[in-house]
Amino acid sequence: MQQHTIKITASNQPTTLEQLLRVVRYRGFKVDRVSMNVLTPEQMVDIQVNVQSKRPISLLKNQLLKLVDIDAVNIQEINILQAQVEA
Amino acid sequence: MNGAQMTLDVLERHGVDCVFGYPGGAIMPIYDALYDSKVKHYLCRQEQGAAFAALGYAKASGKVGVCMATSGPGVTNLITGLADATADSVPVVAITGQVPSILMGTDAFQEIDVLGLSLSVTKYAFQVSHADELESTLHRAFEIATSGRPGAVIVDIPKDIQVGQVNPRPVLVDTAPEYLASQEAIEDANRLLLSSQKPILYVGGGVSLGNAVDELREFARRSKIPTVSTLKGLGSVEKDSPDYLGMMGMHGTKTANLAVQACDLLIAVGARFDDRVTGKLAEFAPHAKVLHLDIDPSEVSKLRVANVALLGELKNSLPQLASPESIENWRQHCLSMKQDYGFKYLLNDDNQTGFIDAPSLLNQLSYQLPANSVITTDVGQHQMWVAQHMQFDQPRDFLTSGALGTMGYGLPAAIGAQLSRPDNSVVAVTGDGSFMMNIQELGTIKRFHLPVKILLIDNTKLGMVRQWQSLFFDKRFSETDLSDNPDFIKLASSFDIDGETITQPQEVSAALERMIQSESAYLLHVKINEDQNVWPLVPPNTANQAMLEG
Ligand SMILES: Cc1ncc(C[n+]2csc(CCOP(=O)(O)OP(=O)(O)O)c2C)c(N)n1
Repeated sequence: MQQHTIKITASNQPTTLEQLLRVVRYRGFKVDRVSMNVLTPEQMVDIQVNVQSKRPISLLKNQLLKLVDIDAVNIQEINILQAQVEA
Repeated sequence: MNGAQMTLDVLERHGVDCVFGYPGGAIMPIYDALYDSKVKHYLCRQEQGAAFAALGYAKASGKVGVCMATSGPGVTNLITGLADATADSVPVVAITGQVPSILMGTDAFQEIDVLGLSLSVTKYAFQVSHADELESTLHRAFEIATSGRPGAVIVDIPKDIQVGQVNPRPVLVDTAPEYLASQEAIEDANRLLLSSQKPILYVGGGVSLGNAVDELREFARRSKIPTVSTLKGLGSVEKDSPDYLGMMGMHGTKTANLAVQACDLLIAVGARFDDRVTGKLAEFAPHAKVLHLDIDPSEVSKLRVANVALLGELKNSLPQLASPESIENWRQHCLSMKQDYGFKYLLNDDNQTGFIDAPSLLNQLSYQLPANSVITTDVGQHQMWVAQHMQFDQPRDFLTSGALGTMGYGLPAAIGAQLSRPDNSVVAVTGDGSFMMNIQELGTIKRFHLPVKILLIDNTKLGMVRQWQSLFFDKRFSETDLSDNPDFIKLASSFDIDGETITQPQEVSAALERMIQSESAYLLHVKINEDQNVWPLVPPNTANQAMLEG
């Protein structure tokens, strides 16, 4: 099981978060943590999702980039120890 | 002008001259505006029929298909068609009425959460929340439906916005920038091509979607690489090319599947390594490197890792590919397999079995039809027989539900195709199970006097499911019998559609000719032996060389 942090910049639409979480689930990833901030002037959001899966994260990244409202996706691998300290 | 009138105005500006739909409470203002609009509305007899008609219209013409429905059950009926469009990357825009904004979120009469319902099966879903967003939202819907990898887009419009006043504004619509493969990737691709001795060109539906049929044919001609097609790629490759080995995959030709299993380079063009194509993935094309050309980055290395990917417009990438130099031995090998393993047809008078042979009939239909006729299919054995035994001039001449495999597609898709191509013959090849799934659309054919031809291949069974029961479930024929079918000729006749039933091989040629020559709609009802099955067949999760041949 690999853990990753995904940082996303997206357009602030009513369906953005729902669609993002749907794709994460459907592509076989489990969510450990989510946070979202609306950026002023309100057209954009920053979303951070911690996920885990046996599947390669690149597959999820490609699917997320395909979503109309998502502009950028950055992936960071979580060092397990650090994740525990943070928790 | 109100929101409803503006909606139709925007459709007109996008060149939409016809829409398919079904009215109801929440979309009544738009239907009221249709009453004096130039946009012609075709009333289908169920919203699923309207969605499939829009799909057929779009696929046969290359334009955007538009359908509309009311809130609640109207949208839930539409959704199967939209899922099909998205799965097969067909540009469709669906306009749906929604309950008034003030009632939204209250479980109002015929209210459904359209965004929640459609997020997973559309490319994008909009719900208009202010009148001043309506115009730009509609433009954006067309842009999203057609750009990159096309798909279905839904625009849900609350009733108060349909009746509210709006001010049209000139809207600047961005055209998406052309997306081109990098020069570096092209050089990597050409290194692979030049070092290959046994390449195969694997053609998918993306070639037609990317308007790259000419470029593909040019590359195939110049490189002479043996070529195979997926179900959705059919019609893209020149049908008479000696190097075309036919369809690959679960019901592919023996030659195509053996060639792919033996190749050293697989050049996937607008194809996505679907499980119906690869069979057991781990054993698919085991000696091959992969060169993958696609517009959609998420398809590359999704199932099979690509050694080199050319991401971008296929039209642009294909002409830049090098032709491998030393493939003549391989080519000859493929040609001789094609010679040895080609399908054999039982011509009418040679067929003494007492039963019509469905593959031979379809092959013959292919020769008897005028050029550029359109064939639609439903789903099942008849669909695979069409794919195996008919040839198409262009991919727009073959319409089938590929990715979703939706029974009920064929008849309404033929309606849309006939309206978009009034000068071409359109034949819906269907099965006795599938035909009944959208049988109500005979009413649409009657109303608009459409000369759609229906070729019903009747085995009184859900044939494809029964074939699997026979092969993999010990012949336990659970719920696949349809021997109490209605009298199809009488049924058609009640919609003023002429037809005839044939049961003998000797009747085939003349009956096909009567159907083709008929100036109005026609039902040719063909009774076949219930035990006729589709061969070859690669059992699920099995390597493609281990095909069963009947
Ligand atoms: C909407 C839908 N329901 C169920 C299926 C599963 N299914 C696939 S083929 C088939 C049988 C089709 O029978 P028929 O239309 O008579 O065609 P045949 O196989 O006999 O040619 C069924 C039930 C499907 N593809 N689509």
